[in-house]
Amino acid sequence: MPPRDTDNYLLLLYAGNSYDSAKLAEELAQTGVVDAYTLRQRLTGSGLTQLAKGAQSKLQPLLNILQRHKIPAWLVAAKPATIQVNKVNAIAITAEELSFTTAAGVVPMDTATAIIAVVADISGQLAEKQVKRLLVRNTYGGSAPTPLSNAELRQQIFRCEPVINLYWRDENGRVSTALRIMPGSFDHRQLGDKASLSRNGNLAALLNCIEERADNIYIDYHFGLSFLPACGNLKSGDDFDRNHNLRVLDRYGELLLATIPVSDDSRQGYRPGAVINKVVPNATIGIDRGVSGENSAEDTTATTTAAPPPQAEALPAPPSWVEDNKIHHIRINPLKLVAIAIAGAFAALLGMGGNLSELAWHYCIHSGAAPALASLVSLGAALHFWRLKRRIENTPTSKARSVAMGMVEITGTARRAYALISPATHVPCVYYRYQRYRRSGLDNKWKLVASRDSGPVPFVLEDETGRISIDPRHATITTGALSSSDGGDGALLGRAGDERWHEEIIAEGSQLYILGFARPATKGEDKLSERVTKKLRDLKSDRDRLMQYDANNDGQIDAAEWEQARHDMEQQALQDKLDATKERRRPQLVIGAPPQKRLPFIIAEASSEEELTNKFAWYIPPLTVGGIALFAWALASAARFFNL
Amino acid sequence: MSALIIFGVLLLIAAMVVVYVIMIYNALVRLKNETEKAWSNIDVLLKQRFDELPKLIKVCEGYMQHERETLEAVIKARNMVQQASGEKESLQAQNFLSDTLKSLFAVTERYPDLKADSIFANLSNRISELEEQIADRREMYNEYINLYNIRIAQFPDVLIARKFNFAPKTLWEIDPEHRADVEVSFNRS
Repeated sequence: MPPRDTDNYLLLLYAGNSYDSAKLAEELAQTGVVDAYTLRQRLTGSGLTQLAKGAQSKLQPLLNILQRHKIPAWLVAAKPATIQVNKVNAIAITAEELSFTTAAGVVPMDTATAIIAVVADISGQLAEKQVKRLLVRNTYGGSAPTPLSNAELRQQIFRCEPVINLYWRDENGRVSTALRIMPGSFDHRQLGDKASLSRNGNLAALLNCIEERADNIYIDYHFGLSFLPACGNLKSGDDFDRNHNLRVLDRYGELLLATIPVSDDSRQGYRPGAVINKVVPNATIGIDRGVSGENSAEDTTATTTAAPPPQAEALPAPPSWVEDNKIHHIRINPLKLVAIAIAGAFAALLGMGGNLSELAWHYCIHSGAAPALASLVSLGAALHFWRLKRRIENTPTSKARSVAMGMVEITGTARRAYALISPATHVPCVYYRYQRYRRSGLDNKWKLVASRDSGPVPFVLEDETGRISIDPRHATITTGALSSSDGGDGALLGRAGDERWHEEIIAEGSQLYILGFARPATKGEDKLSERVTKKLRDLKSDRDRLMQYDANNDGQIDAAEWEQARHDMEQQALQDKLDATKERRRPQLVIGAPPQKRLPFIIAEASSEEELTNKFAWYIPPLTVGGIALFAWALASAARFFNL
Repeated sequence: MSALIIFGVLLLIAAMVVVYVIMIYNALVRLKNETEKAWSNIDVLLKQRFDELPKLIKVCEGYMQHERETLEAVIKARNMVQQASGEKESLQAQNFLSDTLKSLFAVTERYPDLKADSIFANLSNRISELEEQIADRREMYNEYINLYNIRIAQFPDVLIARKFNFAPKTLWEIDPEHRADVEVSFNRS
């Protein structure tokens, strides 16, 4: 059965620094198929990358752009997997021959035929750490990430859990043999004096042996190092699933084979880079279902787990005014500031030593001033949480369709209004907070070297009755998901764990609790200029419509013609806005910060309001008791100090 | 010195109790006002529905010459809303108006030409939308009333509520007669 028009994947080969990913993403985003932010994330990584999924007609403009930039890319249609990969149980090495024994029989190594090998870390550790490192560096490192060389990757893979998949193809491009070699699956004594006590070392020695004997061999080391959901996602850490990862590897092997052309002259051989600048449009690969053979019993599971995520909507980039408001995204609690200031002053004074610290200790602690102040802060904090708790409990939950102006409480699912993706974990989200730490060479302590968040990017809250816009400026945001690296990113790369990061996000689809102030949407939320920009973007992506403005029929849009197009789009945008105003009798509401600063504005990832109020309820008793105890200490100190 | 500390701590606790009482009082005042605001929020929508009704009746009259009773019931209910004095009477009138509207929309099913009319479609959609919003806000109002009534009955709020005469409020309830299915007359004169 021919593949459906929708079963197409646009793949490209990551070519390091040979192109500016940000500029390319902007250009590709003009097509309107995928937004620029998503593209920018996908143009990061190593090896084959999936840029988009969809109908061939939809993806063709993207492919054309990539071809114009001489970036190796393929538009591939999916079909059920066909290659059976047999596990090697034994090997036999003689001076003349190298053969592999599988359940199906003995397979002698055909040295004359070109071999394609995939050397992969099946534990997923390398993939996880390398992709995170590349993404973080790419987004925040200030310079483009430098991909590791094949030699470096090979070294790292053999330090984890290596597996080798070998493929032989006939002159028609069909795979004649596919083998999988795992560590310890063969008798290491066959390696002779190259054998070692390490299973991974023996596998590396076998790979060397294969390389020495093969006339033509192309080895790929990039398994799992880029965005490739068509193959499925690797499971590592607590979720580690070896069989699942092996299926993913098999799909990756088939995908790789589909993108490497069959050489007219097999003696010419495959070399790394030999496939660059060659485009194989409409190659057909088996990436939708699990492979047959040893994994066939789990094909159903494989199909489910390997299903690519839904195609991202072509959302607009976050508005420019977000940058101006980033500093104020979270309201700072004055009580916290006072506490920090006191603690900081004490720490500074005590650290200085000498008379000053003694004086400070004498007048602040002995006099009871500091405990009194701390008592005030503690009691104030207890009061703050008590009021907040009561406010939440005393506010009923509204529905999105019938929200009235004023303080409202609403719960629902977070939906993106703008293309926002978390920088490290690459998750579509409505908010992220990211911190990067580096270990100092001198005192070996972790130091914060970069910290940023997504800023107040507006989003939408959806409940069973409808949707409502959220303007998160000045909100106190509580995230539910925290991801972090373990500080070992550099360890595998020979730089002894010198960097780690933390990322908190509110992922799209999360359950949110919001307590804020509903008000009519301001002009800023629906600017005419934004409407015009969108219309112009749509026009540019539709060449037929654009060429209607080519008054002199020279195939180009000159300045005057563009000005006319711009004028028309402005008129259309204005008309659309007027029509929308006419139709909309009830003002469009948005939930944002209350006009009075003492009123709370909370955005919290929580399944219910009880989850929040219970948390506050835990804070109140210790703060109250602590406040009273500090007050007693302050009184006792003051009594002693003043000899009362 | 111990006496001083004990006295000081007791003084602090007394001050905290005073602050606590003030906060409870303020919270009750806020909640009471919120219930009134919730009622006014319903009024806003009721007023919008009230203003839309004459247009709807006018459109329906053109097609439903034989449904005078139904149309007159809607007009009568609208007038009852206008003339209602007091919270309870207003509640009853609004409930009655909602019921007559339901009857009206049920009867319009017999008039395909009317249903195809774009003005009627817009108006009926608008009124249905308002009805849904009114229902939501009624729930919201009842939720506020419920919270308020619970607060003024709970310890320690009850002490302050009694002292400052915070009286319980009535929930928006449908009259028993309106719980029964409404009979719609299809008599053609």
